[in-house]
Amino acid sequence: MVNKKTAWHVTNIALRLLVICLVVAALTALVYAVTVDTIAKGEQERKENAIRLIFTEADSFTEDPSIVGEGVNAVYAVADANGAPLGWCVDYTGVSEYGGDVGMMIGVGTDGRVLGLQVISHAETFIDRYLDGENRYTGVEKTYGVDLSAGATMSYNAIRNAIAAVEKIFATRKVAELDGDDGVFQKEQIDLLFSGAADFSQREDVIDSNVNGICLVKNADGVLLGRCVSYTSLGYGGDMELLLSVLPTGKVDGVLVAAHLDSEMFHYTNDNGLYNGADAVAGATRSHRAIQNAITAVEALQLGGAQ
Amino acid sequence: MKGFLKQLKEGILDNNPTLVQLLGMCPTLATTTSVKNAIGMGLAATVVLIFSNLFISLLRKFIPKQVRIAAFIVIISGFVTMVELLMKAFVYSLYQSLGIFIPLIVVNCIILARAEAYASKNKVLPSAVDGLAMGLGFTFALILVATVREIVGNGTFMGLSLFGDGYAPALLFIMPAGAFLTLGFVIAAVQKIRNMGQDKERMEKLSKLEEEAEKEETV
Repeated sequence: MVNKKTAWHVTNIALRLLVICLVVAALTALVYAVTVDTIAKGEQERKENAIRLIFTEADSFTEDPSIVGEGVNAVYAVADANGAPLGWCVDYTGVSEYGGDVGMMIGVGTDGRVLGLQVISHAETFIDRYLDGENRYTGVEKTYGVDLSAGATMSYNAIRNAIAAVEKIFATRKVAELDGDDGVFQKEQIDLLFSGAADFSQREDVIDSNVNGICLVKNADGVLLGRCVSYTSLGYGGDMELLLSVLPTGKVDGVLVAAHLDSEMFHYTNDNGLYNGADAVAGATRSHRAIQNAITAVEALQLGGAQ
Repeated sequence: MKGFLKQLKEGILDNNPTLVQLLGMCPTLATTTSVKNAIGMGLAATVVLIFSNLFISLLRKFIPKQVRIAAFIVIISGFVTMVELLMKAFVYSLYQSLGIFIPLIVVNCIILARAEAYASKNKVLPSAVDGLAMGLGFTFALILVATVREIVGNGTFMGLSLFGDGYAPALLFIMPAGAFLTLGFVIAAVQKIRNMGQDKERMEKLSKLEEEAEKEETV
């Protein structure tokens, strides 16, 4: 049985501690109120500076709410002074294996590849080894001059994981855009597959569930050069959107990988996305199989006949 | 005034918290890769030391003895949070350089030790001066270690190149192992200098005693 004197003594101690906590909290709240606007303004300025450092020609950037993903705080569509799209800047928060957040601005080009990265905020002790004077990721371990692609430190992994995650978000988006009923054909892609192509407006009926669309490609004289088939094949990471050039004989002449989610695709494509005809590489056979299956399936359709 | 100067000398030299008391080792090793970071960390810790000592001394009769450590921690962490917010708002580049070591000032032994050993037992002004003295002593130690590490390990001082592009820095000194080595040598050097002064006093006392002993014998 606790006597009244002891109970009051303990209560007194607790009350005094409470008063100290309240006073300290009040002072902290006061400093917070004084600094919150300055901190928010500084963060916004750093984000805008980061966008301008990554896209040197950037003139305007508007938030694009259609692009979302884990870790993504906001995505800004960046355009130059003429309004031409330059790409996107992703306000991304990565997580370091040290347990801290790493705030980054990641620049993505119109092809979905990461162009640059700037660290906006972090609580890492060694992250500045990978950053230049403007806090941009240099891809190189600054102190030793060695590219730590083996992932030697947790800070390095946070940056590399962020790049991979953002590229996957944009690749998934591109795959979804292209995986449509009509197929999407762009002039640059047709030009890569067909030399001398002038017209590709005429469409043919789709006759296979994996085929998104078929267009007839003709030269300036109206002679049929072949058909361009938009095809969805299943790769290692998910759907892969391919454009296949089919000769009038029905034979596949070339393949362009328009969008994919496979990390090992670089074994089989040139810089412009054209299939380089390489044999299957160990550890990347499913990507190779996806392309080969598409070629086999499209040739089996026996598309042919002059128009 | 004399007492004030004596306190300052105590904090910076005679009883330096890092080089003599060996407190605050973690930030000393981690933030001394550059002199600029060392100064920033030292000043941040000094501000927290002054205000926490002041506040704790003000409330020394109000803080119950049984929960004094908890009360000290609440006060110290409050001031560290305020310093962190102010740095984030007004000196963001330094805030970013120091990173996680700013909130870690809360667990810096120097601050809790001075709160317990001095501020909770003395008046407000001497406590504030003690905080200033210890903070300056801590900053001085950080600058000493950082100077060696940055010059030898990076060939720069305060970011300015001293030896030109041809200098091949001894990278070990900006690594953790180099931090330990540098700190060890700096402490050894400081102890030697302190002991030289004390040795001289002891030798003088011994000579006086010997002279007196000789005089007594002749008598």
